[in-house]
Amino acid sequence: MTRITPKRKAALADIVTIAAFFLILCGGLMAHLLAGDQERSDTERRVLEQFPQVSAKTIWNGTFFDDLETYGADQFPARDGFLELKAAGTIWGLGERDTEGYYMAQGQLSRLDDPPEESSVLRVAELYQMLAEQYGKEGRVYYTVIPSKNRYLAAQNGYPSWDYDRIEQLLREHTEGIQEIRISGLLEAEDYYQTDLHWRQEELLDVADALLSGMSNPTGSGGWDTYTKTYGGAFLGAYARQSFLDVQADALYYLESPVTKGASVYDWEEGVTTAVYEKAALDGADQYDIFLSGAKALLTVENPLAEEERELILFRDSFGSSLAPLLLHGYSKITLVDLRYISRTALEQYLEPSQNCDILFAYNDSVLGSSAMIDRP
Amino acid sequence: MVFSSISFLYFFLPAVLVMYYVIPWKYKNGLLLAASLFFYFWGEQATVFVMIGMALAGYGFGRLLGYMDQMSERMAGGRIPARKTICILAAAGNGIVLAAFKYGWWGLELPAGISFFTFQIISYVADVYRRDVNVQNHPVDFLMYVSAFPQLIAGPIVRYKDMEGQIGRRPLGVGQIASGIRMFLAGLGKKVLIANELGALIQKLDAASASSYGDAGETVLGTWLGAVAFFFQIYYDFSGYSDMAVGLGRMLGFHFPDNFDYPYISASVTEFWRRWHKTLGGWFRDYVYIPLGGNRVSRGKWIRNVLIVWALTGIWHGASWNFLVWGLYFGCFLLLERLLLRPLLERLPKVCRHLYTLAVVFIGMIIFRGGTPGYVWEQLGRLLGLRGGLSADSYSLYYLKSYGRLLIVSVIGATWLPKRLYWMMADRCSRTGTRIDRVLSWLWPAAQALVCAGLLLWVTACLVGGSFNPFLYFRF
Repeated sequence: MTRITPKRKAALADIVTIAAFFLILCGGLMAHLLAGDQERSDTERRVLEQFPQVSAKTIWNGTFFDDLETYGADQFPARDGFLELKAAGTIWGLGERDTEGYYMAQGQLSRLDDPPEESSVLRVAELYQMLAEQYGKEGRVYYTVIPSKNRYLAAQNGYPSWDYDRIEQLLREHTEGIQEIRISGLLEAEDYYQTDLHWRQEELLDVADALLSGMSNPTGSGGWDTYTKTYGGAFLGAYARQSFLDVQADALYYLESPVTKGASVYDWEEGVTTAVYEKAALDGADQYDIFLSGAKALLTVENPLAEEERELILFRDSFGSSLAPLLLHGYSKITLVDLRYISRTALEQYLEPSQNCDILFAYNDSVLGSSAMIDRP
Repeated sequence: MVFSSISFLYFFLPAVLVMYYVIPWKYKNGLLLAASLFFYFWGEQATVFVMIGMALAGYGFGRLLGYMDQMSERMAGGRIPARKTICILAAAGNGIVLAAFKYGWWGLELPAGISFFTFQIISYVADVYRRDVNVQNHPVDFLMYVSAFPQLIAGPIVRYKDMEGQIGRRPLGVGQIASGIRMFLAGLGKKVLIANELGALIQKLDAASASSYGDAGETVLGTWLGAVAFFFQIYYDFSGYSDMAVGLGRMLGFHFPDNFDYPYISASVTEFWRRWHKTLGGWFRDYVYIPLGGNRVSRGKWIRNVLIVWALTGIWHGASWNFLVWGLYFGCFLLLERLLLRPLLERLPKVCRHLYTLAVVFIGMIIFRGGTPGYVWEQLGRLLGLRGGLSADSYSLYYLKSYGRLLIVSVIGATWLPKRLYWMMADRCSRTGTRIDRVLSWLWPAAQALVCAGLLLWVTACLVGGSFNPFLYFRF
């Protein structure tokens, strides 16, 4: 440790630097060549790019090289580890307060919303009006705005947030004959999963109660003591998987009652009948799919234990999946329509509201801010 | 292919470098040419033939000039008047091809890097004409000079004069490779970790300002943030790319000229242009300004020469009006400083001179960024709060907080401070007097390797995550 000259130490620094550089580059290349390609990423929940097709045409028009670049990034060895490093580097290294829009506040993960367009909210109001005129002949049409988690986290923690009152005011001003049921005052940040965008079903009893009362449904309102809380397992939500931030998993619970156990769910798209809680989803990639089997265009839930023949058509997004089971004991039938996956024209052949029918529009803030996804003719 | 991509870093570069280091010297230029053509074909496909055609034409013009020199010698020193015509023909031909692609004549698409390699070819023919360099007789060596992948796409503009002695055989040692790696990684970090992040900030601000909802929209703070972010983005983007090019050159045994020398610490616009895109400024000086007579002419002609050079500098960047205005804007300030401002500036405290330069360059970058005259006026009006709207909204305030550290790093990184700190550390760690000195001297090599490895892994993580990754100078 003593008799080595500074010049030799500089040479040593050079050699170590070169070795580290080539070790990483060649190691990356070799690992890429030796490791098998993955078909999909469970964490990101998407299909990964495969080695592109080699042909004179794809090489000549450059698509081969573009696809190879995507393939290189998608199939990079230890991809998830690198994505975690990127997230940590953005937050701790660069000091940014979010990574790809994901941020952590009050122990909750959330995602910044892009600034909304006022025209988008107006388009939703127009859509509600149109659907109310088409299906709400009895005049029992309601809407509620499902608050996103950001309502309770963003502004309070120095993150940009929307003027949510303005959204509600715009809807109010531009809808006629559609009653508003406000639920934002009944929720707080802790009512949402820490790792996911969705709300916790076990925290929704007062929301369900308010909605049922708002829709003048006396049989449905109250009677929550028949529900029991069942533990579904650990749940690492979409925000945790997509942000690659280090966060602990949530505990997922679902509320069961004789009504939910006795009900049947018909999936019009698949043509199959399932249960309200699809318990197989607890072992799948997204445990939130336990609620009415996840993303579905059109479902009909029949409740044979209903005290009266009363129907609900619920225009909803994914938040509605965990909400609908709690509304079920007030109705003999609930039809859930997700306009993100079915167009208005296609819907006409399936929806035939009975005389005793309520219609509820329940969309989350984010959908209202970018409504093109639900406004397909 | 861009340097800051997985395919370059993990497929192309290790394969090329390993082959390059193991094959005998006589094959190195051939390998480098093949690799460079593949590199260009990856991104540009058929237009590789445009580059090859232009390079071969330049090679042919050089050989022709050489042949004429031989003829002249045989004629016992008799002058051959066609030499000048050939040189003008070569410069004009290259200029026309460049203009045709650059300005989209006949619907042609712009091949990447054409502005850079065209200038290299012209410099070669001009230097052969001036007899400053020998004719390159080997087409592979000449094509390698024009197409060498480190400097092919976005410079620096390496003149043949600077490369002539390095084309045949060049020293390649451990020290040079390691210094190339450090320079390459520094450039990669500037590009991916700073320029790309600033670019993402600009995108977010644009999205927020485009919103018509609530208190979001165009604000004074948002406009300032966007303009400052662009001011630094363009510096880190372009100088990062140049550093990568110089670093790669060193790894291959070349010594490319530096392109940037802390331009944002300049105390005058004249000094700024001595520090910003140095190889372009040098090219215009040697191949346009001086041949026009430089400053050894009447004052009127000198002003004309300056304005011609700066108009050309502007339109070299693109066909849009704003580039021409941008060039002339700086040309006018250079004239102003020379004719009027220099005595005044010399009397000002240094901090005022820096602020003056920063202000002129800052506005220059707004002109550079803008696509229409309206955009520039609108931006200037908003910066001064003259166009109504809020001074700040929740988005601009958030982005200021979120990107505050990056902006501070951008400011510090644009000065000589990091480099000075590095050399201070190197100096401190080279002492061996005390026990602590000896420990530090052993830790220093490990620290350097660790920083390099950490930087490379962090950049890889950003690229794997598919971050925003444009190159501002790619299409110039």
